[in-house]
Amino acid sequence: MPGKTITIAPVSRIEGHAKITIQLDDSGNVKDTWVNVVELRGFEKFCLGRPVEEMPRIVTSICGVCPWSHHLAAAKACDAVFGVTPTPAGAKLRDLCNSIAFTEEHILHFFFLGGPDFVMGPDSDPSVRNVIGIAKANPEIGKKVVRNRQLGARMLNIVSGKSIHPVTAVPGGFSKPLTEDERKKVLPMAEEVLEFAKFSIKWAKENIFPKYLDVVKTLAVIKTGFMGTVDANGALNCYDGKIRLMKPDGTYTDFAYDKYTDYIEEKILDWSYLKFPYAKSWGEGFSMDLNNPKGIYRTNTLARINVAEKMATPLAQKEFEEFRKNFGRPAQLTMLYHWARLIELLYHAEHVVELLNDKDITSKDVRVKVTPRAARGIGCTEAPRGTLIHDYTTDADGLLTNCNLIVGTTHNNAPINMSVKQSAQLLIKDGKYDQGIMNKVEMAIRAYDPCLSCATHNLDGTLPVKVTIMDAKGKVIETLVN
Amino acid sequence: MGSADYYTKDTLVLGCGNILYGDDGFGPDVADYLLSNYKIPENAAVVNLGLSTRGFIFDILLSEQRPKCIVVVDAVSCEGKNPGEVFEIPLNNLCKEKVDDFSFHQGPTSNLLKELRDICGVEIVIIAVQPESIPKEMTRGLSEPLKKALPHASSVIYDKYLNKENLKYVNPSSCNARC
Repeated sequence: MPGKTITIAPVSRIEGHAKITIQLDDSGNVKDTWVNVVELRGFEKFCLGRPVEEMPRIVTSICGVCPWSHHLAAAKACDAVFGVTPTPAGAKLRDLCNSIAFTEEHILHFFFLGGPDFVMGPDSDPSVRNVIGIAKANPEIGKKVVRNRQLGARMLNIVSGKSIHPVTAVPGGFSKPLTEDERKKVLPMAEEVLEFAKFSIKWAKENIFPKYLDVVKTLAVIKTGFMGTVDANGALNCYDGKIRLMKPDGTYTDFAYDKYTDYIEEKILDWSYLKFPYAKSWGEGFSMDLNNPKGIYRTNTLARINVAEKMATPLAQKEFEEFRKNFGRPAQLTMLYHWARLIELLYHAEHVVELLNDKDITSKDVRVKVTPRAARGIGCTEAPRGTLIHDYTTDADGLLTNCNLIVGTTHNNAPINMSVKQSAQLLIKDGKYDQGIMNKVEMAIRAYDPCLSCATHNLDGTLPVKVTIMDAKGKVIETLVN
Repeated sequence: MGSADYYTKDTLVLGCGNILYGDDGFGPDVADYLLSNYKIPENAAVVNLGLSTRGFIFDILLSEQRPKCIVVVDAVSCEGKNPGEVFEIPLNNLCKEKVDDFSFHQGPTSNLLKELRDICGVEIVIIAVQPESIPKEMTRGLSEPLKKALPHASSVIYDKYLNKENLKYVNPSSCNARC
């Protein structure tokens, strides 16, 4: 079947939001690949004319996957618009919620979404390669996963009053202080989550990563730069700090996030709804050529671990040192995103306990007053899926006149496309492929934990994939659906 | 109430959908309407879940303690229905594409709901409304037919699933959702 096209379209709850197209050459080998993701449309238009202080509340309805990240990035952009700095307690309460949300998300991804590929094995029967399979094979772990995610929700409810669609971060700080009684109630929960984080990385290092090291070393491997946020000492910080943009050779530049347009530009390609951010400051343009990529950088867990000099908490630091000793800097193996995710889980669990023991955390001075003005304000946090930038401009009444968002998954658009191409080239030879190969191509995407990752893991045992094979003229000659 | 505590309730009513996409906000609006206008019994909870369905359902799946009945409220286009018409859909009657595109914007997949029913023994009820339209670009607010349907849908849900001590599955109408 010379010159045919294979399309992998997730038949899922975000059907129509993503598909993979693989173009074969006349020899049946991979010529090119494209990953299409449909973006939220009309958000900017929707926001224009609205009071900017409404943004932290509105943006939680953009996405149900990481509402806390959008909530906090919006609040920080509002701070900048109003020209205020939150009180120490206000900033720490935001930081606390951010880290609690990170623990929930990283546990979810490792054990429920990306994890089944490894926990059950990439070639295992699809009927067990899912969260139910994990629960049956490891019932105690399944219980712990749920228990610890529930603890995260409980902590967020106590600290912020609302874990779903959060509203507590406001321009200038946080809307409610944490009482001493609440702190005492939350602290044991945080300590329990920390124990689970310690267990998770130990368990994965003993049972998961060694077993699949060959997959880690070969699948979805590309060479790129990286971007993430670090504090003044170069330690990982997911709430605030400076952005570090690292080239593939490990050299890097630091910049304040409100200067992001000096360093990053977004490329528009006619076949994708999603833009392709690239490092314009490197002065080499944009190319996704696997042998000679230009301007390509990655975000999310592996990127953050790569750009950081160190971790700000002791147990995570120990894991960080071991990781760096094993894989160098920058570590390029895409499947290491999963390992880096567990280091981050440990960091955030430690950080939550640390913040709850901070004397400022129960201060009643949680916010400063704000006054509307004409200004541009940029807020940035590290979302679980990568660096999240909210950029707002207001008129003198504080009404939005411009709004731009760059979300984590968008930063990784080009790398995801490159990893899929590398995987497809590795796995499809002479026109031969099967569903197992298709799953590994999807694994290349799942490593990045994009917002569509959940879509590629159904629980009914079927691989949620529709493969459409077309000839060179675009005529469908075969469709495979599980 | 923390979301973890929802699992201890016998009945959960989940308002699903995206309030920023017109009629897709029907589920969340029903949840808010119920919470504002009805006294929710102790053994039940109504949650404006919006888009945060994924983790919520995952957690229930693996939780040792689960609700006996989950009522999902969402906008679902169904052939032959008029905008604003409220109806129940049996999970099995959703066609494959609709199964996986169940909510227009990140609602719970019925794959997850089927797992809850078949593996965990949780009664699943889907209360749907026929949308007038789901805008392609973000637009806040329900269409007029759905605004009118809001009190009716809330009343139906309350009477059938929240105003009884012993919850019992009511045979749904014979709608087959078509894509």
